[in-house]
Amino acid sequence: MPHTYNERIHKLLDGELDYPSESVLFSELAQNSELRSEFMQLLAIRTAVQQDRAALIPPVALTGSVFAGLGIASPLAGAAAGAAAGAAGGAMASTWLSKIIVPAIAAIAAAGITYGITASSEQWAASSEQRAASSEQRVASSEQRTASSEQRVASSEQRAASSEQRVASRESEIRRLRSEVAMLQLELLNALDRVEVAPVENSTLSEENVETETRATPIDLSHTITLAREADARVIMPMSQTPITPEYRDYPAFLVQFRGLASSGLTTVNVAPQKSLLENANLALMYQLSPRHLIGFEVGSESFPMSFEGTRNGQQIRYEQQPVSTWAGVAYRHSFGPIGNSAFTPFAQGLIGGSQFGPLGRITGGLQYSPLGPLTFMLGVEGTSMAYTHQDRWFTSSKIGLTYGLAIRF
Amino acid sequence: MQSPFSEYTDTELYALLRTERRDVAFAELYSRLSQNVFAYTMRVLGDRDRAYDVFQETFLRLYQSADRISYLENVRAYTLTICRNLCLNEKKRAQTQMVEFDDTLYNPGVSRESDRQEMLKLIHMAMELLPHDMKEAFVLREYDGLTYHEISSLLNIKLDTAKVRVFRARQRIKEILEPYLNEFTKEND
Repeated sequence: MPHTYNERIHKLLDGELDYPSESVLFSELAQNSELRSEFMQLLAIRTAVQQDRAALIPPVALTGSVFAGLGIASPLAGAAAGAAAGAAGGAMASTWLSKIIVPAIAAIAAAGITYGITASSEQWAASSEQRAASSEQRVASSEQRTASSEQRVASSEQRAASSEQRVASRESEIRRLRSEVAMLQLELLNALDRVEVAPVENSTLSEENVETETRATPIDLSHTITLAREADARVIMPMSQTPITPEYRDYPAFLVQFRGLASSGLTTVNVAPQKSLLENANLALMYQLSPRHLIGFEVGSESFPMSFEGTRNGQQIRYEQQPVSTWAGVAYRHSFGPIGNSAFTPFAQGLIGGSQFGPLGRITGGLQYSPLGPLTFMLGVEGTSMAYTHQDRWFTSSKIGLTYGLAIRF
Repeated sequence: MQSPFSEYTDTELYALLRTERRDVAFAELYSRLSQNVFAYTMRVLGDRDRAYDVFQETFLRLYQSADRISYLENVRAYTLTICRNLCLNEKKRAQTQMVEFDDTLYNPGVSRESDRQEMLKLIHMAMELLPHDMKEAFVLREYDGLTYHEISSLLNIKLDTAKVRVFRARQRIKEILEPYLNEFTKEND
């Protein structure tokens, strides 16, 4: 049995006061203002402490450190979501979410990548052989075309030679005919020398009456020579071929891209971001539909600053956290073509997907640099926005920053 | 959605730390105990960085203890004992009184109403002025919700001693905050 009212108040606060003592205390409280004031003060302290206690939740980063220190899978995002849901016990649901779905996504991505890499060892080899064969075919085809061109050139040359022969032959004939004409002219002159003049009767010569009889051998000049020279010189043009431009040389193609992010949140929070092994890194597998268009699947991991409000036990509570979340989505990339003759190509990319917390959108713009072979370097700026819910209210977390990476075509 | 281990007792979960399902069992134990340990370290040590270190070390030791201990009746008390010993070591090591403490950055859940914030700050300051044994008993009772029996067992003191420490702690805090509390209670009347 408590001895003083003060002790009874403490017993009451501890829930240990029996009913008779409680009645006595309440009666006294109704009459004693000083005791009532003391009770109110202790109650105020109790209320403030309970509020303080409710808000003392281990930060996500600290939880991450604990699990990372133990070397076991962290329920960080799950715990964060659980905390956001307002119940530490409810974190297990999210724990399972993070333990099953995230690894599953990671496993699928890893399997895909592994398949892409290992299977592509065969495919790569086959592809390489195909490419080699294709290259050989192209080389052979080019050689054939070259040979064909050479043949045509040779044929043209032959025709030209033939024409020249014909010209030479005609010229030879002309020379022969000219010599014949010359011979005939000479005979004609000789014949003129042998013209017989008839005796003039009456010793009078009258020019008007003089009749000269000329007997000459008729010359047949009916020969006509037609030179069948080519009207114009034949121009031997190389065969027209479609050039293999760099953009078609690499099409179609798969592309594996690994890139990092250096971003800063547009959502301001006062807690440090959670750390993880592959934070702010992502991996993409893309397929080139055409020289300008690529589609693909991208998966990554990064921290998102989250600031949201809710109520717990009737109190308005603001939460802040920066958990690392795995995200994945489908991406479309548009390439604007090389700048002049350089190896730089500007591009823009959009991604729609989801994280462990909600839907996510991402826009990237930048430059690709493909100096040699299948390697491509990229640098760009990126904006990301993620939406999530808490107590049926939607919130967003936005980030902006730089991205840089390396891609390999195969 | 609940964890398949949500129905397990703390003792059963602790036993599972010796099996292949240790990770999930530990996650469940962590979700149950972390708030208690966090509140204790933050309010007893009064320094964020040291509290974080002790918090991590506590769970590390709890996890490792399962290799040596096959059965534990009261896991929460055991965990708080680890935490308490670490806090005592930390206090001995630092040998400084941390009076000033601003955890608003790391305690964003509290309502932003200025009077409540002020009240909390004053309570923190008042707690820092308490002797360690009183403060410890107060935190275990008010923040961690332990019964007086659990407190006496944990601190290895008599039941009445535990009650007296909590009682005196409340009274001391009330005395320190009396001027403020008078105004506060008047405003709320």
